[in-house]
Order: sequence, then C-alpha cells, then structure tokens
Amino acid sequence: MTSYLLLQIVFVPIIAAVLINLFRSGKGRHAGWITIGALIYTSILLCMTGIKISGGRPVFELYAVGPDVGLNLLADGLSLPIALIINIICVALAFYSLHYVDHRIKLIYPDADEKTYAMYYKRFFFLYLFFPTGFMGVAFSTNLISMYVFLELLTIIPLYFIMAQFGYSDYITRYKVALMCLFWGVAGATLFLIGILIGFNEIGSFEIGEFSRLSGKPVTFWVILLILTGLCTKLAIVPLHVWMPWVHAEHPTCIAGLLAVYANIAAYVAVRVLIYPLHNDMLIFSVPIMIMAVVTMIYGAFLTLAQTDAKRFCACSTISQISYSVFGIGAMTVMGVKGGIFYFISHIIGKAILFSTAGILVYSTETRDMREMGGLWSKMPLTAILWMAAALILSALPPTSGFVGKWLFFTGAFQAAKSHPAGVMLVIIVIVAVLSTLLTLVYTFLTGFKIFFGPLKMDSDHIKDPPLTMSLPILLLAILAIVLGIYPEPVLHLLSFVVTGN
Amino acid sequence: MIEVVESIRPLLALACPFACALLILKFRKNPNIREGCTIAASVIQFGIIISMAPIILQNKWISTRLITIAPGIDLGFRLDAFGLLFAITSSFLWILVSIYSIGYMRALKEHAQTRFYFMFALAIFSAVSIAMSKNLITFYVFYEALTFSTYWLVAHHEDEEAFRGAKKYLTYLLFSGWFLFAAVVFTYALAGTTDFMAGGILSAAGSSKTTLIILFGLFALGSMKAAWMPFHAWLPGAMVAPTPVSALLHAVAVVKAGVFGFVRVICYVFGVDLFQALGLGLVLGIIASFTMLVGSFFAIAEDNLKRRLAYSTISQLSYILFGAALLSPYGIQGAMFHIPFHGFMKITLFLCAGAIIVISGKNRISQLSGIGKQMPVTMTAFAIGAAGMCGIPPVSGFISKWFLCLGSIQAGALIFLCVILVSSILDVIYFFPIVRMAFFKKPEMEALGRTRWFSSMETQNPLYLFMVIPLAVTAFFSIVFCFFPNTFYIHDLVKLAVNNLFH
Repeated sequence: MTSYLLLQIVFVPIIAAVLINLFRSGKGRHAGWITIGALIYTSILLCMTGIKISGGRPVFELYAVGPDVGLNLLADGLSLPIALIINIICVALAFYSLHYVDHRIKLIYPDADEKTYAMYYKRFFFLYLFFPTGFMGVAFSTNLISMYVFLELLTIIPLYFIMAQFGYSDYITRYKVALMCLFWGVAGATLFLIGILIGFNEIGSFEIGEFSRLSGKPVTFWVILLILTGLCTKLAIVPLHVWMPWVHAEHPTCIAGLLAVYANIAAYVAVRVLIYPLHNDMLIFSVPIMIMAVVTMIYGAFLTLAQTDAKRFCACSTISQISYSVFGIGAMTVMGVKGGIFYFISHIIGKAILFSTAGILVYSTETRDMREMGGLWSKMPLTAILWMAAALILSALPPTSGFVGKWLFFTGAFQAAKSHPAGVMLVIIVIVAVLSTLLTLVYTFLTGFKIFFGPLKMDSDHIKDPPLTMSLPILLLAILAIVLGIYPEPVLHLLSFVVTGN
Repeated sequence: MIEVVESIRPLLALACPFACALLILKFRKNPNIREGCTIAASVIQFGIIISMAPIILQNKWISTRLITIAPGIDLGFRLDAFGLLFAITSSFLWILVSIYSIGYMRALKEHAQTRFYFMFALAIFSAVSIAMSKNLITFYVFYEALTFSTYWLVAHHEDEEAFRGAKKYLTYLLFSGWFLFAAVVFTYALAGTTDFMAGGILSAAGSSKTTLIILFGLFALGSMKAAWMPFHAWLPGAMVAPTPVSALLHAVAVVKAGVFGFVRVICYVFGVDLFQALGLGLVLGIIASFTMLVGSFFAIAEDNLKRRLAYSTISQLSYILFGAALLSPYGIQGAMFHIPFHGFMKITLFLCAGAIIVISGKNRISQLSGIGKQMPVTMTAFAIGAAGMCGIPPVSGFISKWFLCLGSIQAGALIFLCVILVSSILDVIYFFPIVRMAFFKKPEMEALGRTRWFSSMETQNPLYLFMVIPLAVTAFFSIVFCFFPNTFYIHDLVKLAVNNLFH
C-alpha cells in the first residue's frame, strides 16, 4: 500500500471508474459507494504522504513515458495540502451527489425505466471520478506535458460530458453551454501549451525543475505572457471571465463546487510553473496582475450583487473570489504567495459549501429565483446555518480559514508595496482591494438574510432540510474550514517548505 | 524594563462571560436561574479582573499566549494598566446592568430574553477581550465579534424601526472594520509585528511620511466605533435597542472600545513622539473639537431623551480623543480618566432614561415636567450624572475635565482650552433644562397628585427596585470617584500607564 503512493492517488479513481462500468447489473446504486470508497482510500493515502513529507523531504516518483515526457509525480509542501483538501472536497461532494444525481436524473429523464436510470446514475459517477484524477494529476505533475494533459482531461471528460448530460436548461442550451465551456477551456490550455513548447525550444526539457534555466533570456517574457494568459482564461480574470457564470450556473450543482476548484487550480499552476522557477522574470508582471485582480474583484462582486438566480449568484461570486488568491500570488512576496495559496484552499471549501447550499435550496424549493425565496429559516435551519458558514468563510471573517488567508496575502501585498518604487500607488491599490472584500460580506449576508429571514413566501411540505447524506458532509467541510482558521499551522508549515525556499 | 508574567487569569476572566453564555442557553426555560448565572458570572469576572490590579501596579504585564497563526501573527492576551482600566470599567458595570436588565426586561415583558442575555454575555466577552488584547490582530478579531454580537441586541425589537437602526449600525461598523483590517495588515507589513508597545512600534525611518499618514487615515476610519463626526450617525440610530443595551453597550462597551482602540493606536502603535512628528495631533484635535461642539448642538435640538443622551455620548467620547490628541502627559491622563468616569456617569443617565420609560412610560424630554417628584431617586441620580457631564464638582467628571484643561495648557494650545470650556457650557445648556423641568415645573397632568417618598412610583412594583438600585449605585460611585479617584485602583493605573508612555 505504501509503494507507488502518488501513482495510486492519481489512478485509483480511474480504476474505480472502470469497476463501476464492469458492474452492469443491479440498480446502479453501488456506483456512488464505489466512488466514495475509492476517494476515501486516496484521501488516506494523501494523509500518509503528508506525514511522510512533514519532515521536509518531498516524495518524488518517476515514470518515464516517452522521450522528454514522463509522468513524474512530486508531492511537496505546496502540492500536498492542495491535493488533500481538493480530495476531501471530492469525497464530500460524492456523498452529496448520491441524492442529488438521483433527483437530477428523475427531473431530466422523467420517462426513463429502471435500466436507463441505472445507466445514467452509473455514468455520472464514472465521469465524476475523472475529477479527482485530473486534480491530483495537475497538482503532482512535474512534467509540463503531463500537466497539460491533465488540464485538458479535466476540461473534456468531466466538464463537457457531465454538463451536457446532467446540466440545467433544455437539451439545446445545455449542449451549447457545454460546448462553450469546452472551447474556453481548450483555448486556455492551448495558450499554455504554446508557451511551454516555446520554452522547450529554448532549454530542451519539459521538467518544471529545469524551467529556471529560462531565467533572464529574452524569449522568457513571451513564454510567461502566453502561459499567464492561458491561466487567466481558466482563472476567469476580466475580460476572460465570460464563460464562468454560464458554465457554473448550468452545471448540476453537485459538481459546481468542483468547478470552482477547476478554475482556481490555475492559481496553483501559476505558482508552480511561473513564480517558483522564474521569480525574477515575473516581477514585471506583478503590478499588472494585481491591478487586473482588483478590477476582477470589484467587477465580480458587483456582478454577484446583481444576480437573482441562486446558482448564477454563486458562479459570479467565484469570479470575484478567485482574484483574491491571484492578487496575493501577484504580490510575489513570501507571505503573498503563501496567503494566496491558503486563500485558494479556503475559497474552494467555502465555495463547495455555498454551491451545495444553493443546490439544496433549488432541490427543495424547486426554483432558482432567489426573489421567490424568503423566511426559509423556519423550514430549513440547517441549510441556513450552512449558508452562513459559507458566507463567513468567503467573506474571510475570523474564525474561519478565509481570515488567515486574507490576512497573509494582504500582508504580503503591503510588503510588496513597501519595497516597490511606486510604493504609494501600490498601497492605494491594496487598500482598494481590502475594501472590496467588504462587498463579499454584503452580497453573501444580504442574500442570506433575504432567503432565510423575513416573511415566509412559499409554503409547501417538501421544503425541509435535505437528507443527512447531503447536509452532513457539507457541515464537515464547514468544520474543516473553521479548524483551519483556528489552527492553520500544519498547512502553513507544509507551505513554507516550498515558498520560503523561493 | 517591564516584566511580563505568564498567567491564565485573563483567560479565566474571559471564561466567565463565555461560560455564562452557554449556561444561559442551557437554562433558557428557567428565567430565574438564567439571570442568576449572568449575575454570578459578572461578579466572578469582576473579582478576577480586580485581583490582577495589584500585579499590574508592580509594573508588570500579565500575558497569556493562545495560538500562533503564522510566525509573528498570534492571538493572545496581555494585560497592561490601560487595558485593565477598561476591563475594570466594563466588568463592574456589567454587574449593575445585569441586575437592571432583570427589572427592565421583565417589567416591559420583552420577547426573546434568552437571546438578549446570551448576546449580552458575548458582547461583554468581546469587550473584555478587546481590553486585554495583546496585539492589533487579536484586537481586530474581537472588534468584529463585538459588532456582530451587538447587532442582535440593537435589532432586539424586530420591528421595522429596529431593523433600520440595526442595519445602519451594522453597515457603519462593518465598513469601519474593513478599514481597520487594512490598517492592521498594513501596520504588520511596515513594522513586522502588531504587539502593542508603550513607545509605539512604527518608526519614521522605515517608511515615508505619506505612508504613515495614509495609515493613520485607515486607523481613523477603522475607529468609527468612537463615533467621531461625520461618522456618528449609527449611534443615535442604535438607540432603538432596549435601554440596558444602550446603557452598557453604547455608553461603555462599544463606543469605549472605539476610543480605547484609538488611544491604543496613538500611544502604543504610533507612539507619542512619532504622532507628534507627523503633525497628526493637530488633525485629531480638530476632528475631536468639531465633534465635541457639533455633537452638543445636535443634543440641544433633540427632544427624545435617549437620542439626546446619544448625542451627548458622541460629544463626550471626543473628550477622550481630544485628550489623546493633545499628546501631553496631563492630556492623556485626562483621556484615560474619562474612560471609566464617563462610563459611570453616562450609564447612570441611560439607566435613568430607561427607568423613566418603564415606570412612567415617557420618552420625550418635553413630557418630563414634574417627574422629579414622582421618581425622586431616579431624577436625583440623573442630576448627579448631568452635573458630572458638565464637569461640576463633586462629581467625577470634574477630575477628567481638570486634567484635560491642564493638558491643553501643558501642550501650549490655548485654543483647545477654549474649546473645552465652550463645550462644557454647551453640556450645561442641554442637560440642565431636563433637571429643571423634572424638579421645578408643574406636571401637566397630576396623575398621582403629590406623593411622598415611600409611595413614589418607584416603589410601586418590586421589579422597579431592580432598576432604581443599580442607577443609585452608579450615581453614588460617580461621586465617590471625585473624592477617592483611587477606588478600584483607577488613579494608580492611569498614573502608571502615563508614566510608561512618557518615561
């Protein structure tokens, strides 16, 4: 069990997916449990890896595939915490999906007989398992080509297919939106690929570790620019954010939380591929990134304030939230990068909770229009608590993990401003950024109050808290965020191995 | 060098309101036990806090380290003389207000009393944590906690007016909290630490003057809890809360946390010398003078008794900022004295206003004619509080005002001396008509006729005694402080704090 740790972590989900397809008989119910079992197994492996590397020595596994291309996996202080948290979110959302997918299939394919139903049910979990594989692959790869492959895998298999088959809206719109998502995803990844190919031309290697040899060369600027633009597409930085509200809103809610991860993991890629090896060449991009991030923060927040649709609301909030971690990373100081990564972790937890809560609302009220909801506190108290927890995490208030992240990356940004020639201007940018976090508080809590307090607008017996398999995992995620807020030391300890060596 | 003693006493003191909050939830079905918990917790808390005074007076700091978030960023408590001053004030007044709340809440048959006591205990928890904070980050965390816990108290009535007031309250204070956060982070980036130090942690060497002035602006906007003008509108709006809340939170805990934080920032983050060198003393002095005068004018025009008291609070809080802005030993001494003294006097006034509302059902000043004969104890206490506000001996307001005047002379700013004298006259103008009306004007309706002392309205219902006794006690203490400023070690603590600041 302890050998090939990382290889197992990446590929056990795919093996589980194959297993699901092998069991053709039965009602298909076990598909969900196989998924959960596989993911819990990989989570345990991740924890073991974590214990192994907490001494400071990374785990490195080499699997050559072809010339210059290899499936080399590296678990160090930077990739492991991210992979672990993502995997935990995958487990929680798999639990959540058990019921949700059931409801979704019945809604989309009302006349399906038992066999067709089981087929769809299995197909969902089959596709779902490509998410953890993709995320773990991106997190652990040290070879740029394999990283690219995993990024594409994420876009094509789970994103496109799940969306097209289980999404909202009618059949045509669903496929259109799925296609749009695919185009944007592929466009971003292609820019990324062009960037690394130019890099390869120069240094003759796809290994990220070798990438620092590019440092100081004239072509480096263009490599960075291409890769950065590609990543910005994934990160939905204004003006490359168009796809985000659409894609997030039309997805089945149980994977919408993972879409926030899909978008935000590009921030990790930026740290891994660009900032870590090419720190000095990246410095000129620092201020532009920060400005773009601030613009996105404010724009995204106002976009969110204007939403009336529960799912679009969460989607627009993702646009704004992601740019917080981009902002921190853009500062390119030790604290900034640390804080940016920590905020990324906090955001994906918070967003998984918020999306799932929105999903529960849609599931039980059968409407997506938040204007029709009101006074739901008396009907579904647990859901209200979950929403408030997500609001606390996303608006980065103590004692949640968001606060630690926000504190760290803003400190980093101020430190960058201190040493920068245009210091005062940068200080003002940072202050604007800090103030714009207030908007998050406004939109999460204001909407929360509107949905859960005031007069009860709809009355029906089936409006009640969801079954425990849906709410409990989400509640555990909220507790995780609070634990990370009070005791972030383990994660920060792991992060500092990599970041301080910068 | 100041010695630091490790002790868990600060944690014990904080555990009281926290445990109390949980017990309140536990005994929500049984009001007598529930209120008993509150009173017991408040007495124990005061005992623990006052027991730390002798240690502090030996020029030691009591510290407890809680958790470290990242190197240099930790949550922890460290009590010094100035913090203890605030802690003593809020914990002592909590005892009296707990007793008072029993009378007030039950006489008015308020709803959701468990939530009220629960949030009240949490608010006290946050206020005392603010007093004991070791560094800006702890301070910020509990500053926000205070805002959230008091929101529910302000919105207690849950009608439209209450929600409007509470919304304004939350909007202002959250907005301000964000500025404070920016300021805290910025300070950390500049100084590498956020621990409060007697000489300040920032230095002019490390950063440009503009940066430091921006930082001060952030701190000032972050201190909207201090209700300086033009960011004061939340305070009169928050007067929709039940009177015990207005009394403790809006005369002691919330607004005092604001000014306490402001003085902390000036003296322990910037440091007096740096503040002087940046020329910010003058800026703050002008803001404070403006608020003192304009707040008084607003008060004169107000007919609602609680709102008039709110404007008076706005004006009086600026005395504290004013004293700090003078940056002279006497000025800061006056500011520090004013924190407990104003707390006692203003709470007397608020408790009186609440008693008047409950017992006679009146809340406008124009209705108060002749009420002094019907409620002699209440109105006598009110007169004492009013006299204190105007700085008339033998009430403790005299002492703080005396030091503020001395401070402005010491700072060589005679114009500020004029401001303080004019402001005192304005205080007289808006307080004494109330006293005059209450005692000397004939009541419009002789509802009860001439009453004798033992048959006054105040003794009609045993619940009323729960209200009258606490307000008599605070009025009594307001006078005691004038003759014996060292009650509860207040004088020694202030002296010690100022000595540490000016070596």
